[in-house]
Amino acid sequence: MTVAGEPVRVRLSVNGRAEVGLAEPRTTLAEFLREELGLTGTHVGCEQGVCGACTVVVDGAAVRGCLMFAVQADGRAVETVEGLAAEGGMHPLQRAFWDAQALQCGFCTPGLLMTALVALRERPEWTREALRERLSGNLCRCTGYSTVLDAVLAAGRAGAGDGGDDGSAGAGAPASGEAGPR
Amino acid sequence: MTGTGYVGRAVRRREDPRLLAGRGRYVDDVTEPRQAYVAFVRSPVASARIARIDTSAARSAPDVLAVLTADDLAGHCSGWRGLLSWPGMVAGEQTALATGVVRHVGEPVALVVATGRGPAEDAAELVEVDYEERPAVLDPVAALEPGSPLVHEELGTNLCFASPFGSGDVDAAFAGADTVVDVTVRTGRHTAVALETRGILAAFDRDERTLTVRISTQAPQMLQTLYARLLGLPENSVRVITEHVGGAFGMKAFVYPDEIAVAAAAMLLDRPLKWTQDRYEAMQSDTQARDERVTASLALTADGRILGLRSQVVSDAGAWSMYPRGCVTEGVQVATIMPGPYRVPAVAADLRVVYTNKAPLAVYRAVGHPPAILVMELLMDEAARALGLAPDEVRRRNLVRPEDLPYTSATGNVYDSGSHLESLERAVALLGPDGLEERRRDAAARGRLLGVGLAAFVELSAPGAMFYGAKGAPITAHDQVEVTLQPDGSVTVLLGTPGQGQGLHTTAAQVVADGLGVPLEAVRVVSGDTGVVPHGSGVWASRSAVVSAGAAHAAAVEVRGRVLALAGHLLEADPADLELSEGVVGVRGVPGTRVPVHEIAAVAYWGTHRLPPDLEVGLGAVGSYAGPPYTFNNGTHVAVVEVERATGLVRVVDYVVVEDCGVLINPDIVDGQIRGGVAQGLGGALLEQVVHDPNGQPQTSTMLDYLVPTAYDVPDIRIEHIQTPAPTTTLGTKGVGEAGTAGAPAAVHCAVNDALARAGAGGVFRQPIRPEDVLDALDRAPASR
Repeated sequence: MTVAGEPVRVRLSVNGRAEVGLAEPRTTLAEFLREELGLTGTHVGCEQGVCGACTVVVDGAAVRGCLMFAVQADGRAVETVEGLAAEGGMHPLQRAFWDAQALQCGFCTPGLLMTALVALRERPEWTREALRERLSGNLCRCTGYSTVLDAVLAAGRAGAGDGGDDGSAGAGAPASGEAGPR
Repeated sequence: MTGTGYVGRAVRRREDPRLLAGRGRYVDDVTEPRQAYVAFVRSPVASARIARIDTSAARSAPDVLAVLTADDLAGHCSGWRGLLSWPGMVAGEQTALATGVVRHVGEPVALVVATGRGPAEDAAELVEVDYEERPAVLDPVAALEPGSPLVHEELGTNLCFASPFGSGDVDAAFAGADTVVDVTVRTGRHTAVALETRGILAAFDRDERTLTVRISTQAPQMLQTLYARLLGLPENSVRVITEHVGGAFGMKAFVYPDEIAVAAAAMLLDRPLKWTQDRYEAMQSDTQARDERVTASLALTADGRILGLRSQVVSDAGAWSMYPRGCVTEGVQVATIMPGPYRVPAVAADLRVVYTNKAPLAVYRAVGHPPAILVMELLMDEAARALGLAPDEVRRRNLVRPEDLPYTSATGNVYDSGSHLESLERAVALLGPDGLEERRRDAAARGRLLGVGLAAFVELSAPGAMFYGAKGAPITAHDQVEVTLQPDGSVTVLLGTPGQGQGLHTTAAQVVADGLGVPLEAVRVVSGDTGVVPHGSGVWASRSAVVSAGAAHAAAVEVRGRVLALAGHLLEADPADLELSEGVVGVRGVPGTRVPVHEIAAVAYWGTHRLPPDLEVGLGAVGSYAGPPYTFNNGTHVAVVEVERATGLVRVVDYVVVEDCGVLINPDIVDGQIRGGVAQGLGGALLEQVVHDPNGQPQTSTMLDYLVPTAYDVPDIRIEHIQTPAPTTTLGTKGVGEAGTAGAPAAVHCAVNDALARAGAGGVFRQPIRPEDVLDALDRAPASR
């Protein structure tokens, strides 16, 4: 029997790893990922499901991490931005964002990446206008969005929806390849 | 320039891999051992005297460490006035927590510290505050009437600042005019809505008496100075850390009362304290912007030549003049930028900046330019209609021409160079005017009115010390950058000014690689810790591509000179005969002599016995740049909109930008600034407005109420560049960060009014242009429907 408001144990899979942590009933999934598991790549921009910065993938669906309680994620499979790239590489979506300069301050970027990931898993081919609508639930104050559309369309062509890593080095090695193909 | 040629190339941003991996470090991502959390009690009313604060219930709540009010911080954190030495400007004294009176909804009144954020927010609800409400001052014009309630009783007036601007004989211009057109325009009250809310993590070392604040700011060195001053510490004992900043747009360039209250509390409690603002607090307490009421008239000859411009500007400053930039820059720039890229021989502007019981008005991307350019472009279109000229033709007849440059506006701004007329011609050509009739018919078949709007603009960038320093604010106009060639030939760049998403590490690396003569990959850029980096004034007023880049270039060139001096000795050659490129020193014209720069660096570090004693061996140098008073970029925007007759909804369907910001360091980064700026300007034209009820309660307290543009709202933008180098800056660069926001509100607005005019309707003269405004205009049109 648990006391109201007391933390409870939450067991879930995050990016393919079994994780366990404590959460109060009011703790959101985004808070749990950030504070309890230290996965701060999931950002919180509004705490009411509008901005989309906290978007993560739960059992395959794009979910607002600020609108789901951590206890609701018990037993589920969660994917976050930290799980996108395999060791030492970049996911095709990340690479496409880099190539297209689809980010500036980077705060909304993890949520956009996860929203785009689910969209591309649904189908790799999107028209620009359909994608515009699909991404319109993720707010970006820096880019004006068109390079984001460029990036997601390019990643779709590169097979980003299939998952996995593109095998190219780059992430975490900022000096490499920055004068790359433009 | 040494010609290895990284400047001008669209290299990918070195900032991005880490951000894309989710490994950015924004303030809330960092946790200190024994960190406690802060929550604020904020005023729920717009204007009141605080009769009583009872913190006893909050103090005894679970996990609460302290509850502080203004009385507790008095003596530990000085108050301030957001005053600049504009003649006659007045400002009330502000404290970190409200002292006795609250002046806007959201003003911080008390601070609760607990071991967790939840308990802190729970306990904040237990703080009892008795407010004796007073009538709120909400209309800046009514606020000037005798007998109006006062926002600051100590000042005896709500008038913060009043001044005329301009020169030339305006009365004669209007007396001699063939045509006079006028407009009365109201722009919405905006706020920045940076995706990362404000936040601070403050820690005080009692033994060393050093304060470390990790904070989401765009001006860390300025905060170091002011936190030291207000908290009674030497400047060398305050360290400000900013790793990643999730957008700022001018809004994060201030001493905020809540933030410095957290720093003061951390000093009192001897525990690291974190406060992360929530969005509700942001909508109540972040600085706001625009909110201008402008009446303006333009005198012209029968052939469309401008003779003079008159304007009255009332700027709604809100409750406080934010420290230290103050609240008048927006209004001053509305008044002084208004002539824009046109030859206007006589200008008389009359500015009044007025306090009201709203969150403070301050600088926000393109400060004053959007209303100024909007008013001028609306006047140009009214003139075109009155004179029967095409919109581009009336502009063409008045734009500054190459032979006019350098041109001094009647408001005293000097345009050193530019392509004012050419940018219009290129924008019109890029739009493809020949296809417009077909696009109009196609839109009409879908129940939509097509409209085209032009906005020719100038943007003041990279201002020098006269802006703030000369008016008494501790805001420098110069930057420093330190460049060090390491023993292995790699290069470390310490950047005085960090970015908040602009890609300044990338552009600094490009400039240093060129200036020093090393491969781009050899350069690593470090910023964001005032304990480590040299001085920088921060990111504001489109300055970094000029000022920070200028400092980086100066440092790189200095180090290059030292390397060549050493190499000259080692190679027994005249340094003037040496070249350094891509990390290799060679004797010009002698192919066999190629020495990698790391071999020379190794001597400078480990082999100084091989060098004559008078040779300078250190391979690190600090470059400084102060530069000219400012430099203006210019350009022309064209917006094409479709107005849905049935609903009044406006959709921007095509957008053209011809921009001239001088030499481009990184074209992709510049284009990113333009697109993002246009998106913000489009938001201002069509969506964004802070709304208050008649009691001063903000009605736009969430992101569902205050609308920022989504992917659906922003069209793809076609951009062309003209590169007229600034004659006065090191690299020929001009700033560009705000240019998109400067031009877009006018282009979109003029396009809507063009669509309405083609339906026989009068225009809309307020922003944001809401569907109801469009429908009203259509309903009033005699020929409508």
